[in-house]
Amino acid sequence: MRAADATLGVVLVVLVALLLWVIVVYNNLVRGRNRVREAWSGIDVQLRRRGSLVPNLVETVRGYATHERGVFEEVARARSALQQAGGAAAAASANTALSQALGHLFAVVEAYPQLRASESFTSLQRDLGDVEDKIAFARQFYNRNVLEFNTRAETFPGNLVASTLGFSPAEFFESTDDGRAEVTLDLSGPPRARAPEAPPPPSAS
Amino acid sequence: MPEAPAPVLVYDRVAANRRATWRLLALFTVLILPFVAGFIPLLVPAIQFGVLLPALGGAAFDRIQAAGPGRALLFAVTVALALLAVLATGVAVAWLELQQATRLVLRLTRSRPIDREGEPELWRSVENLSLAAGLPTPAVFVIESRSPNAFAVGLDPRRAAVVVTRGLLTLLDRRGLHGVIAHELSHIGNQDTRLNTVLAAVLTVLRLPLDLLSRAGLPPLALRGCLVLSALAAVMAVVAVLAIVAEGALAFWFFASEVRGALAGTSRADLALIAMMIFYGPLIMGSPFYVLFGAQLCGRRVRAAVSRQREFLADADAVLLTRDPEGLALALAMVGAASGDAIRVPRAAAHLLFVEPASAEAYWWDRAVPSHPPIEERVTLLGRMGSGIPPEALAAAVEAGREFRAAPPAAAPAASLAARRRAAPRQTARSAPTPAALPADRDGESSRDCVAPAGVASQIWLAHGPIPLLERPEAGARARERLPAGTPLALLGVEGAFLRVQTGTGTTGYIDKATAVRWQEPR
Repeated sequence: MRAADATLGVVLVVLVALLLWVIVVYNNLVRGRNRVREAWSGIDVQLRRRGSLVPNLVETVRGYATHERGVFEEVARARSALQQAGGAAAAASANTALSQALGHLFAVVEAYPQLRASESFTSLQRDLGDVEDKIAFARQFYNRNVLEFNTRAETFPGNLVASTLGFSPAEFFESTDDGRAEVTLDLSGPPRARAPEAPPPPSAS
Repeated sequence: MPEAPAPVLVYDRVAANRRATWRLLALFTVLILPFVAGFIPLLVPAIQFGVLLPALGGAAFDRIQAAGPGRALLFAVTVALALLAVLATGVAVAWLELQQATRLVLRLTRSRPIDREGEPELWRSVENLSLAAGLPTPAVFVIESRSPNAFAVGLDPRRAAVVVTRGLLTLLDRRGLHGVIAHELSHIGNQDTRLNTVLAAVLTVLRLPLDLLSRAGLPPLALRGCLVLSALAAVMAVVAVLAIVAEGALAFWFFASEVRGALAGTSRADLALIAMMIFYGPLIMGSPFYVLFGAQLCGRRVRAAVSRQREFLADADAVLLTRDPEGLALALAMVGAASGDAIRVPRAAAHLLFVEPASAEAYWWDRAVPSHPPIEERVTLLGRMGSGIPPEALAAAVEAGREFRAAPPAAAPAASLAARRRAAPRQTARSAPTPAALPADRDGESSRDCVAPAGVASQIWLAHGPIPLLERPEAGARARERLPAGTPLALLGVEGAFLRVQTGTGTTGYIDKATAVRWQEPR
């Protein structure tokens, strides 16, 4: 009887300790997930800003270059793909695709010196560059948080709690398709007659 | 001590800093206790005759004093009141300091708020780097001072501000500026600013007596005299206490019965008087030294230890943000060599700054306990984080900083730069037969001047590398490739702070102007 009581007591203590540990781990995981979400909103704001700048840019270019429909459609497609992208990795890929499409657009712009010199175009271009910078900086913070969260959720013994309670690792904001080379833009080169499909120069980042 | 930037999140730093803040406050309380004790002998008579006598009335006062236990009670009440008064004043001053610290520091340093239009590049740097740090964008201020320095204030990240001097903006290129701002943002993110504000507040309280004395217009010689006299008094007090204790012990040891007899012969009142003299005498002699110098010296020692650690951490975190240890190290070296005249910062807040505000006017006791770790040490640590810093680049940075310092304040640096810029093309054209090799040991300044006339492609070499060849003339633009040291480049033109160059394989791109290059004659 005595021994049974003692055993019961030990089991109870162990159970309570285990429960407490699970609570602590769970709370840490939730905190980490919330931080990842907060960091994501930092990127999301900039992606939206970029998406909202694109139509203005297209309109501005359309005013000068009316017959470049293919490029406009490509940009519009890439933009809507970015707006519909779910998840960080998908958004990153869509963002890269938009960069590529914009690269084509800028290549078209090369042929229109008046457009290149216009006030609205240069200011849009500056804003776009600023947004791209900000995406890069926000990405740094987001990925650092994802790294922290994933490490917490995937290392032993936290992963036991994480997998039972349904915490899945967060996605990094990284473009997954390496096949697409980045289109680079040379604004200062000699104006070409028409460069719809500028061959992407070899790039290494 | 951080040797390499491990991916540590600011959250952990914040937790550690919060604990450090509490420990610090506890430590300062201990430091302040003797400080308070030093005030008590001065306050007790004042309270006894200034507060209690009028409050209780002369007759009641006399009655209390006449009774034996009443006198002890009166004494206890007086001491308690004195303690309360001193503590309340200290807490009130510290609290006011804390609440007003940000505004106070900004006002004392004559910081001017700027907006996006005023300083677009500075604004953008702060905005972008706070995105990377995951902080709300702080307010940005500029001090119109030639001495290059920067600091961050604010009790929490939401109400924080980053302040840079005009000298810093003039001296540093974008890379260095990024490093400095990342350093200041790390202070905000780690909540060093809160810790620092607490430090500044407590130190202000500890320094109050000395500051009042020096502000009263006493010459440094008189202050030094005060120090020597009070130190002498303190030493005498210590010796006196030791002597009294030793004498008393000896007397009891050898002449126990005589002493007992003598004690029995003296009245209680006289005994109390003797005890008070023994207690108060050394205290009154010693307290001026502690109040004026001792307490704040101890406080500054603590501050030095704390802020040293904070600076190293902020350097490491800044590198995490910019991924460019060399940029910050060169900026440090340059600013360290250039910081001449101090900006107007209360000495109690010196630890807020990017580098120690050096000043010839500073009292020697301020120079004795610096608030920052030596720059060489910080640079060495930064060098260990990356691939090492080329010594010639470091020497160049120091040289550029010295040059900046030596330049007379009257000559606007921008104007002199423009003048040199005009001279530069002529110089390269004239020296065509012999390769006008730009001295690579002045990269901060000289490469800013190497502006080729548009359309003339001239050959340059990278003095060191690898250096990213950027897609766009903007910091943070994507790199097309990384160019190793010694890469020959054709210089196509200049765009803002960047050079447009073409590599041997035909790739065009931009490199930072601050990158050291060597010239060859125009092709």
